[in-house]
Parts: sequence; C-alpha cells; structure tokens
Amino acid sequence: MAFSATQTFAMEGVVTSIKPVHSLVAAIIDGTGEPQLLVKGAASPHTYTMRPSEAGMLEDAKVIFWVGEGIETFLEKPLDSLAGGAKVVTLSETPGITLLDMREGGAFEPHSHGDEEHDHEGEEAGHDHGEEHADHHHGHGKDMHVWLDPENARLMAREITSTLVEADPQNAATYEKNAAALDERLGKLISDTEKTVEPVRGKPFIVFHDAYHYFENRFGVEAAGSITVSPEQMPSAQRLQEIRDKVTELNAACVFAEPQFEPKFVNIVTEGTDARTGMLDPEGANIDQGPDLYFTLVGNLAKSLADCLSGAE
Amino acid sequence: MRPYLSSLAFGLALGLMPAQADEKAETAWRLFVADRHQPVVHVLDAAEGKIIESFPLESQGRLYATESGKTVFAVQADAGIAAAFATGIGMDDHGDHADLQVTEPKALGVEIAGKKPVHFVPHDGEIAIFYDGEGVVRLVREKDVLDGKPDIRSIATPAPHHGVAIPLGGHLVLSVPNKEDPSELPVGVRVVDASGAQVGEVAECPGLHGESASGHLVAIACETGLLIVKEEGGKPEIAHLAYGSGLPEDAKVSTLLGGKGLQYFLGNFGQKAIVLIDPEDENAFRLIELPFRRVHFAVDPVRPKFAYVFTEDGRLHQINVLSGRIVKSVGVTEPYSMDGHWNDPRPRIAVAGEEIMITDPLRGLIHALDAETLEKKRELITGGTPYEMVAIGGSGAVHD
Ligand SMILES: [Zn+2]
Ligand SMILES: [Zn+2]
Repeated sequence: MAFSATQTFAMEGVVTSIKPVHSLVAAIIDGTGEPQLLVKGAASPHTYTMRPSEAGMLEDAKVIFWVGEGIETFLEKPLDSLAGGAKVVTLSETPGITLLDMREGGAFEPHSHGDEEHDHEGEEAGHDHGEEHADHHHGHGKDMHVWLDPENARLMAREITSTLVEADPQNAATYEKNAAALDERLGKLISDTEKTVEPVRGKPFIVFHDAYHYFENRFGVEAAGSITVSPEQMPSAQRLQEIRDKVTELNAACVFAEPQFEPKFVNIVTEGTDARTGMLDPEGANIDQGPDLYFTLVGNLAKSLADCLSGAE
Repeated sequence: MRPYLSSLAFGLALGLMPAQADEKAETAWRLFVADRHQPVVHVLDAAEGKIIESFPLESQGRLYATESGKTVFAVQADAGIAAAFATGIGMDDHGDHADLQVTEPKALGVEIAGKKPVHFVPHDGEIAIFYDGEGVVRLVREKDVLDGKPDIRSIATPAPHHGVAIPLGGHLVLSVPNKEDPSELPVGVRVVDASGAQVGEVAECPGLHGESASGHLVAIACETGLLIVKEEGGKPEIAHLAYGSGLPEDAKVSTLLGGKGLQYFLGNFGQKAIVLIDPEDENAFRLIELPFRRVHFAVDPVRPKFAYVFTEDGRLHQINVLSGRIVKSVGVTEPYSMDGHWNDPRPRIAVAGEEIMITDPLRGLIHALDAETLEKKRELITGGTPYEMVAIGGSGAVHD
C-alpha cells in the first residue's frame, strides 16, 4: 500500500461482502487502503460459496461489512465460526435506514433465487412452508435489498465512516473528507435519477427478481408484479403460458430480467405479448468493482427503466 | 445461481436455532456401515452407539448418501444391484433455522438392477448410477426413490467401460470410453440434454477417474489435470485446468472430494500426498505431503475449515484447508498397511456432528473422536468387519 502525501498508514483487513457494499466502503477508505471483496464478478450472493482464501480473509479481518441475513446467505454461519476477531457491521441494521416489507401475494410471486422449487420438491408438509420460507430467506419478512435506495446508501455510508474512524482513528480526517464527498455525490445521484425516471412514472412493468422495491419506493415507479423464473431452466410450456397470461393481464409495458438470463430466454418468455424486454442489474454483476460501481449501478437501473418504458405505448 | 445451497444445507444445518419458542432443537446422527465380508448394512444411532437396524444385501455394498441425506444407496457391483434405504432423517433448511424429522430407517424396496454398478453420483436432486458392465447410466430422481416409485431413465454409451455420469441442471455430463480399448479408463466427457442429444464438443480427459461437486463447480479428474464444469447461460461449460508445475509428474488425481460450505476440492496425488484444489486461484493446486501412505480421506461438512486423512500407521490427520497444512495428528488404530489388495478392509472416516467416526475393521468397531480435540471419546461396537461408512444427521427444530 503506497503512502499518501499526508503520511497516512494503510488500513488493512477491511472485508466487504458484495459489490455495492464494496463500492461505498472503497469510496470512504480511498487513500488509506482498499477493501477486500468476497462476491466478485457476476456471482450471485444468494447462492455463493466461499473459497478457502476468502475464508482466510475473514479470519484475518479487522472489520467486515455485509448487508445481512437474507442477502449473503453464504456468510451467515462463517461469520460465527471464522470471523472471531473482526468487528462485523450489518448494514441493514443501520440506524434510521428505510426497511420495507417483502412484497407478497397478488401479482408478486414468492421471492426465489432458484433454490426454493428444488428444495421443496418432495417435502412432506408438516406445517405450511410457503410464505414462512420466503420470509426466512429474507430476514424475517423484510426485503433486504436495502442498498437500492440511495438515501439508505447515504446512511450506510455514515455507518461505514464511523466504523472506520473507530477502527483506525489515525486516518479519521481522510475518512471524514471522503464521506463528505460521497454524500454530496449521492445527493446528486438522487436528483439525476428523479429526472431520468420522471417521464415513465406510472407505466406498469414486471421483474424476474423482486429486488427493486427500494428503488421504486424512492423514485415513484412501481413494478406491477414479479415472475419467478430460474435462470438455468427453461420453464415448461404450461408455465410459459401462465407467464404470458400474466404479462397480458397486468398490461405490462416491459419485462425486466437480470444479467444471468440470456436475452433469448427472456424473449421466449414474452413472445406473443406486447411487452418489451429490458435488463436490470441490482447487484452490479456486470459492472467493474470500485468506488464508481454504486453510481453506475443506480444510473443503469434508471436508464434501463426509462429506455424500455419510454419506447412502450 | 444454481441451487447448491440445498446440498450444503445438510451439514451446515448444525447449530441453527429453532424459529419459535415452542420448538425444540434436537440433534440426530445415524451411521450406515457396510461389512466387508458379510452382505449387510448396519444402521447405528450415533448417540446411543448401538445398531438399531440391519439390512441384508446381496453382495458387498459401497455406501453413498444423497445431498439431502434422506437416502443412502448400497451399490453392490457383484450382485448387479443398487439398493435404496431411507435414512429416516430429514433436514429442511429454512435459512435461519432447519426442521429435523426423525423416523425409522427403512429399505425402500427400490433396487436398480444392471451389470456391475460402480460410480454413484447424486446431484441437483437426481441420482446417476453407472453400470460398467453395460456402459449404461441409469437416472432416478431422489423424490421418486423416496416415494418407492422410481422412474428409471437409461442412457447408453458406445461401450461397457468404467464410466461416470453427472446430472447437472437438466443436462448430463457423461464419460466417453476409450475407442481402441474400452477396458481402459475413459478419455473424455460429453454433455447431453434431457432428450439424450449431445450439446457441444467432447472435452478431452485422458485417464478419467474421480469427480465431485463443490460450490458452483463440478470437477472431474484426468491424467492431465481437472475438467472444471460450471453452468453458464443454462448449459454446462467445461474448462481444462492443467496440473501445476510444482506437482510431482508421476502422479494424478483419481479420487476427488468436494468441500462442503467452502468451495474447494481435495484429491489423492500419489500414495503419500493429497492435493488441495481451488480452481479459481492462480495457483490452483497445493500439495500436502503425508508421513505415510494414505488409507482414506474426508472433508468436514460441519466445520468447513477442516478435512481429514487417515494414514497406514493408524493415525488421523486434521488438515486446515485455509492454510493447506496438517494441524493435528492422533493415533487411532493399529497400523493398516496399504500393501495388499485395494479392497482389503481398512479404516474409513465419517463426520457425525461433533464427532469424527473411524471404522476399525479388524476389531469390529468404530472409534468416535471429539471433533475439536481429536481425543478418543468412545467405541461403537458393530462386530464383523465394519468397512464402508456414511454419517447422516444434523440438528434442527422439531415441530410438535
Ligand atoms: Zn434477492
Ligand atoms: Zn472407479
């Protein structure tokens, strides 16, 4: 780690779980170090398995930032067994943060990351597993995709800053300065995003993964429903018909998939309906990690929504 | 992406708290143990340390548990049968807690017949058994086996051979026999879709033997390195990972285990070493040398950081898979020399919650070691010659 002009000492042992969290931490720690990232590339945090070197990172960590139970499922147990020495910051528990309930029922199919269907085949029903299960995967009924509201990101950034200041008081001035710049940039992101989505407010759309409630809530757009589809397996003919009926019934202008879905696949799902298709990337799977990722991520969400919905009737 | 969680949930379910106050947290572990000389499989309750049930087989059985832990198969090559048993232990992971259901173990009455079944691969809720004598793979869904109504699908390869098949999200990865001499090990793999049609090219894998799954990867061992299979865009993508330059040249992996809770593989490498593999690391292979020849090795599904190797001097070694080092070694049995036949009865390791179980075939018992300290805690008597062993269990909430 290079020394900066002000002779600060490097801050090491800061571990982050997913790219959006890494991005915020990287912006604040800039100049004193670089946070480590567990879920890299296009991997999904919902089904991730750590490599031994990443488990080693946890063991050596001073501070670990994660969103919390329901997003980084892979971390739940290792945090107990491996991260004994580290301060663990659960960002979904940031004071003052907006926490929304999981959307369920109506046009919203149970939140799934591809494992539910599989897990529950052949299960003898001793008690009702349907709703309870979705809850348990998402932090006791709360939607955990909290970072998709930039106002939440502002509060999370404050939590990150105070944690770093406490862990490394020598570099407090750097963290405070970075945090102020980040906050200003987040403020601008919010007003820019408002402008981008303004023209398409009220146009109904459907998502493959109900992750966008926070974004919708902040910017006044609203998904009409969600469809549970596995990225690996083409739905059956019967399921395809159900999906198309639903798209028609909800009068959806756009159906949004995520990067792990092949475009061809998405087109098949909407074939024979009037809906256009688009792509949303809530975890930054296709964006390079770093301090700018968060801004690109939110900017892309706004742009994808506006592009797809503005082309529709 | 893929539902690997379900396979990991099993061992990791340990230590989860019940969801509601009116639920009790309970632990249950069972050992399935096959005798080397008698065609029988015993089921032991680990806590009681006693045989609770014995099921007759038709020939020596090799034991395999499925990912869910609900089913154990005794693959009987000589009798030409793969027989299914319900373990009586069901764990359903619900994220922040797991439900535990305990019932009697029972023979499911499902016997999948064919010439010389050997390799058994459970994956994604499907089970693939390869019948060497016919070069045919038979596929069943675990759910149907548990219902006692298996819908058996067969896919033939060009020739009888010592093959393997791996179910992978609607596709099947299938060994390609050696054209000149099918009695030699397979030379590659091909992917077929649900209709049996080939997808993509044959991936070369000379001297193929050994496969395992871990995290979002499947690995297949070859003379030249490993094939690493992952699902991209709905179909398996295969890449070759050559053995690193630091490895001895006269050895290869022919047995592979996949890490549980951490994504890594452990393979044999020559008689006196194992190799720790992180396919996504720049230096993917780390050789771990052993003081004596290797008898058996196993990964710890409960404490993902550890794996174990038993050596012919009668000692168990605990490996830290983060550092790639032996961190503890203890004497467990009298020496069991690797001289002689590969199928001679020698100790086998299985992890049952807070205990490491090791069969001691010549003494007719199983040693239970404390998983933390590796101290011997007790002996479980089976009589006969206990050999192959699998442990099934976990702890979770019991709903009244
Ligand atoms: Zn999600
Ligand atoms: Zn074999």
